[in-house]
Amino acid sequence: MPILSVQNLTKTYFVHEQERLVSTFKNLSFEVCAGESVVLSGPSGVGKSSILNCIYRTCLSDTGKILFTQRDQDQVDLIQLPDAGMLALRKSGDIGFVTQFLHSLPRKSSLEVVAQPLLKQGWKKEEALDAAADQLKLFMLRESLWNLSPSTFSGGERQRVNLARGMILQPRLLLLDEPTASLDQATSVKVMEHIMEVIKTQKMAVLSIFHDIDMIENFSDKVITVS
Amino acid sequence: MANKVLEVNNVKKVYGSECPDCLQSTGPEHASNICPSCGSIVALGGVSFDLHANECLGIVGESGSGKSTLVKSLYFDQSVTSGKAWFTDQQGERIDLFAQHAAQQRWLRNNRLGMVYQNPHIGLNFDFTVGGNIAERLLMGGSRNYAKIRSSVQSYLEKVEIPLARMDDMPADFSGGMQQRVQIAKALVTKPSLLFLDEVTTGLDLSVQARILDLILQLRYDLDVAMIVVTHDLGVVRLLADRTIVMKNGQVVEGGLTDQVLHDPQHKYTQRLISSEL
Ligand SMILES: Nc1ncnc2c1ncn2[C@@H]1O[C@H](COP(=O)(O)OP(=O)(O)OP(=O)(O)O)[C@@H](O)[C@H]1O
Ligand SMILES: Nc1ncnc2c1ncn2[C@@H]1O[C@H](COP(=O)(O)OP(=O)(O)O)[C@@H](O)[C@H]1O
Ligand SMILES: [Mg+2]
Ligand SMILES: [Mg+2]
Ligand SMILES: [Zn+2]
Repeated sequence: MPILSVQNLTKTYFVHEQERLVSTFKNLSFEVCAGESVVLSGPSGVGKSSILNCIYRTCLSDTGKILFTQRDQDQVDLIQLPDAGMLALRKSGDIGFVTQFLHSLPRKSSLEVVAQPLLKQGWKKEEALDAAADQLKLFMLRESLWNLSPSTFSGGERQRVNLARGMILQPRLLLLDEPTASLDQATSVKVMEHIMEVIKTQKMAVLSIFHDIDMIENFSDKVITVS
Repeated sequence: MANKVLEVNNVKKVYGSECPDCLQSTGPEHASNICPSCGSIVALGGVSFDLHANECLGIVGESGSGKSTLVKSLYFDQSVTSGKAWFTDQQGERIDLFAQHAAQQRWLRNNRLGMVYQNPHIGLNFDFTVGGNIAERLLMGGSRNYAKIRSSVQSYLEKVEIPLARMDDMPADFSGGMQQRVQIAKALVTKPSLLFLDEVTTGLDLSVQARILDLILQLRYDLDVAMIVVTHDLGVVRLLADRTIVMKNGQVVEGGLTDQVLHDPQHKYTQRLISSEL
């Protein structure tokens, strides 16, 4: 059974101010299995980010089903799931999302930002910070930055903090929206090689968006073209 | 799934002599909370929502939309006209908040609920020392073991990062940000299961705001407490709240996971609120 099965998903936005309907994808269906890296491709504005947002409930879907296979192998439709249930899946690390934006407080160090998902689960502070340090190492963030707040970082540094935070729970389903957009070519490749290794060893299901054709070719098991 | 700490059902608050038109003629679609027939103010026109254990709920909306009226009613600072609010405490007892008599209300305020006000002059007694303010709340809750009270006061001052050396100073000698942190310690020292925060960072410097928000975030992880955060600042709910409801003219126009409400708002009013702020 796939971890994620999207069936006939449709999303439109309505902008009240302009009384305008913005339609994106219609009747979209695809699957993502454990240990698989699936990439969404298609022209800008076609609705790729909206798909990830519908799955993570950062936006609401119109119609269709988003079936997610839980740890006990029961399937839930994420569209029908109450808010509290969705929050629980996020907090437990069943579903993770790394966007291009990182909201952080000026007083929080990178280590604390990365450790946050563990702290939310009630981990002891020292253990959470140790785990965060391991992640930051894996994402090649200079150690001299670990105790500084990401609010002053470069785009690429911030993005790696964001990825480290997103990977710390090793979510069963991970959504990545242009995870390497602010990184140089060499760093992008290293970062993705690491993520691919974890996908394969931990049997994570990953759904991502890349703009770079080379990245799509090198780091996908399957490509879904959105139109 | 987590238990419900609070179930609020169809709560109304009308200032003035209610007439049959009051509820139908006010609300977001009328862009007003004043009844055109009788002139009463419908501060709350039937508000409902739930809160789960350990959850943080944000309440946003423009000034006058009824946010403070709602939390003040739940904390017994004022009465409602009608509606129900069920509160379930740590022991699992389900309490009909608006059916409690004065002594029971006092007991709940002193033992189960906490409130942090925008105005520290309401939340703190400026005639007592900072330590005295916090100790007073434990005394009101029935504690008489002075050694224990002293150690609780110290431990909560530490949690809110107030140096113990300043424990015997008066609140008036503290900065606005410190006064808010003392209020937070005072509200939490009784280990309430539900904490209300009404515009607690409004009007403070940005760096002072960040420090308080950081502290609240930390306390959320460390303590078992559900929170309701009232604010007109969307950045505050983005940071603190799991779910958010949006109020306008005394009614809830929409609610959902905070990032969903901010990213894909459904109601016309919420879309305007967000596009005007970001
Ligand atoms: N909150 C919103 N309200 C209204 N329209 C929106 C909203 N979010 C996205 N859209 C619109 O939906 C369409 C799809 O947007 P989306 O961000 O999903 O595209 P995308 O495929 O990820 O594009 P890109 O490749 O540029 O990132 C666009 O026309 C966009 O303007
Ligand atoms: N004591 C009162 N008497 C009459 N009207 C009041 C009183 N307190 C509040 N109101 C009115 O109730 C409405 C909601 O107020 P409030 O809850 O303070 O709004 P918010 O906190 O959202 O800014 C406003 O129209 C306000 O003027
Ligand atoms: Mg996009
Ligand atoms: Mg108010
Ligand atoms: Zn009336």
